Amino acid sequence: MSILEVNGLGKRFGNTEVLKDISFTLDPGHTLAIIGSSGSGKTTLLRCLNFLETPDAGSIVVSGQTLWSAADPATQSEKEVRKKRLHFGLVFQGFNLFPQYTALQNVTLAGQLLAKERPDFKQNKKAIFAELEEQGRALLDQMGLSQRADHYPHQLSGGQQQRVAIARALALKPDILCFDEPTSALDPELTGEVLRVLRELADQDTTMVIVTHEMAFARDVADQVLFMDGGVVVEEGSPEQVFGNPREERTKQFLARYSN
Amino acid sequence: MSFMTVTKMLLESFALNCQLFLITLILSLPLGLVVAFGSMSRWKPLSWVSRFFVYIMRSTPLMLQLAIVYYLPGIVWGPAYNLPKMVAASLAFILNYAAYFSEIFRGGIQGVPAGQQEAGQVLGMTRGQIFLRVTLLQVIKRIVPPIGNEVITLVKDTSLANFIMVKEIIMMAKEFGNKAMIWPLFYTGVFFLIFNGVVTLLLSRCEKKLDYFKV
Amino acid sequence: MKKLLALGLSLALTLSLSACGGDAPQDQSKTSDPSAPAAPSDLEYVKDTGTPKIGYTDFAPQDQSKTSEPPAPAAPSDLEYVKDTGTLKIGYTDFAPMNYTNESGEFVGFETEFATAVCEKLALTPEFVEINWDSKTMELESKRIDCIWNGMTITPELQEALAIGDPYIKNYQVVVIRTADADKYKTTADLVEADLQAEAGSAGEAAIQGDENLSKAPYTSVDKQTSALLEVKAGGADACVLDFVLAGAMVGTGNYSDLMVIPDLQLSVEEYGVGFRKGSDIVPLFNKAMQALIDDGTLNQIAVKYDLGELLLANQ
Repeated sequence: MSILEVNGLGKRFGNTEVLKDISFTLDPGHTLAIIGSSGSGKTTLLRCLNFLETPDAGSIVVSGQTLWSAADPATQSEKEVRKKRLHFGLVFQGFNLFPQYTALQNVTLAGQLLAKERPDFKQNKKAIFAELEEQGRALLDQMGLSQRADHYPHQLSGGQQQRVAIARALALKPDILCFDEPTSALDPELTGEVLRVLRELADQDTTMVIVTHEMAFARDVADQVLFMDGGVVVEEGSPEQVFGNPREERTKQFLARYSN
Repeated sequence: MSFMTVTKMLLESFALNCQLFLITLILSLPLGLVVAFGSMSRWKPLSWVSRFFVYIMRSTPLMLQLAIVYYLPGIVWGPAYNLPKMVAASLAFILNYAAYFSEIFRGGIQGVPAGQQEAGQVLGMTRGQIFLRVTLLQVIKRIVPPIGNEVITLVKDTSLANFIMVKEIIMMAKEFGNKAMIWPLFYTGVFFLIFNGVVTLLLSRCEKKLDYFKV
Repeated sequence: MKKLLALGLSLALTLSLSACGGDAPQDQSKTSDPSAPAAPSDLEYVKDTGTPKIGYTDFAPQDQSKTSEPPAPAAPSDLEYVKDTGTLKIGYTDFAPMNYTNESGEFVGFETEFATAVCEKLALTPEFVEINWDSKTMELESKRIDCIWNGMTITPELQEALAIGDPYIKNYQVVVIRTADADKYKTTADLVEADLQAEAGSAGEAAIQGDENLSKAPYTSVDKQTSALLEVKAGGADACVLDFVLAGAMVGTGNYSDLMVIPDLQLSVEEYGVGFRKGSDIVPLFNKAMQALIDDGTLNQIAVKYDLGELLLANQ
């Protein structure tokens, strides 16, 4: 069974239709790469999945549970949205680390706040926090940042900051981890360290949706590729199929531009 | 009159400046925050009213505001509505400074990148948690320098209260002037320098404390 | 709403006017001893610069012919309002010798004692309220005070804005000439080409500069008023302008027996009056009470105490 099912998703900003009838499914442990030129709606799609934008049409289903459906007002309540967001994690293009917290605090903050909602929080506060910290350190270690745990964001390079951001997203153990052009804000020499981390995550069967301009990376790592243009899914398939043998003229043109 | 006597009398009247300064600071900061949220409200009428208030208070001289608060109630509704001097002065100062502070707050809050809020949202934080744990400190770091400017200006502005006969230090010094003592007026500068020296020290301490991160 | 708007506007206007307006203590500084000599070094300084810098506050020349208006009955009665409160709130600014605190810490002064005496006659308790002179009209209108009693010079503008009691102090400048020239100089127009003198920075100098004719005449400033008198006597100047108290005391007697004051020529006339709210019905009672104090000699007694006896209108 697929872990994510997007059906007929639509979104407009005023008179501009940014997303038109977007449908796809994603299997657990798979990586979906979304490619397309800027303005094609890729980022809006990610933002809809994370409920930073509210779609106008269609539905989002995670593990069989309808998180949002245009047809069912019960799924649109603002109250539930916070919990629904936790099914997804999102890594931003611009990192958006909290500048006043150390790398470790960035990773553990949300977990600590969520822990407060646990009934046993008061009795076990110390233990819970200790566990969260241990987990946070482990994540930073996994990102190759164990030496940087107590650094503030402004003391870290862009690549390091983005790896902290990934650790922060992973800390809440989301079902699906989304990346919005995670290397676009980085100097070319720093993209490698972030892509390496993404590759490792893919190897560990993390379910991921990655919006990216790194075609070679997408071809290499993704299990599934979606090419978007003008707010619609133009072509979808395996990387071999989309990159190696695109059916659509628009896909060919886009890939031709990128291979140069 | 001896130097000590003049110093003592000036110090006594400077207590009024300090009193006005403290009352204004304590009450206009929270009021400014309320007005800032009003200005940013998505409910248009509230936003309009808040912005109009800010426009009025920032566009007219504080001296005129003092005169309005001090004289107008008595003229319009009768002597029973006359406010005592210090109350009238405090009211005018609080309203005026709240307007300035609200704009600083608004700038500080809106200056925090939207991405910070969104990062909090996707991590499942509530609005309150985002404000308190993510935005607030960044806002404070942004607004400490401009607020500091206003605070230093406020110390000096308290002298304007002599327009409605609050016998603050400058007015007291001018009365010495009427008695052919000119130097007390210039001497008042020392009081302001010392007070603002302390304020400046506290502010730079504040800024230093927030130096550990960059926004 | 209209009333409110009008008030707001007038408030703003008054404020903007008061920004360039006068300050009571300065207006009345002429009551100080007119013969006090300026330090010689100051004269040299002024002569060095060639331009005496004359401090002034902006106020209109006074019209002698005007007396206080008969107060129109106010509705509701101002008198009843004051009687209800039982106190007369007297607006003042701190300056000697009118209203000031003396060295032993008592609040005294000519106006202070005068006002207290009038209040006694009116069976009211005087309450002295320090005011901002620049907003005196608003102080009255907002009923923070009931009258302005502070050596207030009566001006046409104030007569418009307030109800002013009968004047009680009068000061003015006169022109002193040689008795021999009595027929030659009768009006200021006759003095257009005469050599004039006055004490530098004095009210007499201001009177020369403020007069249409005298301002055209050749003018020399001297260090004190008596020097000017001597110059006129010696023929170094044709006329000098000084205040009437000094002129009255010295001219025509002793050293200056061959000098005279041009009769019926009063320059820079200043009269002091007590200002009440426009249309106030307290004014007639004030006038009556003041007259009673003049008649029984009390006012003169107070004036003499503060060295203002010669200026008291009742004594002129």
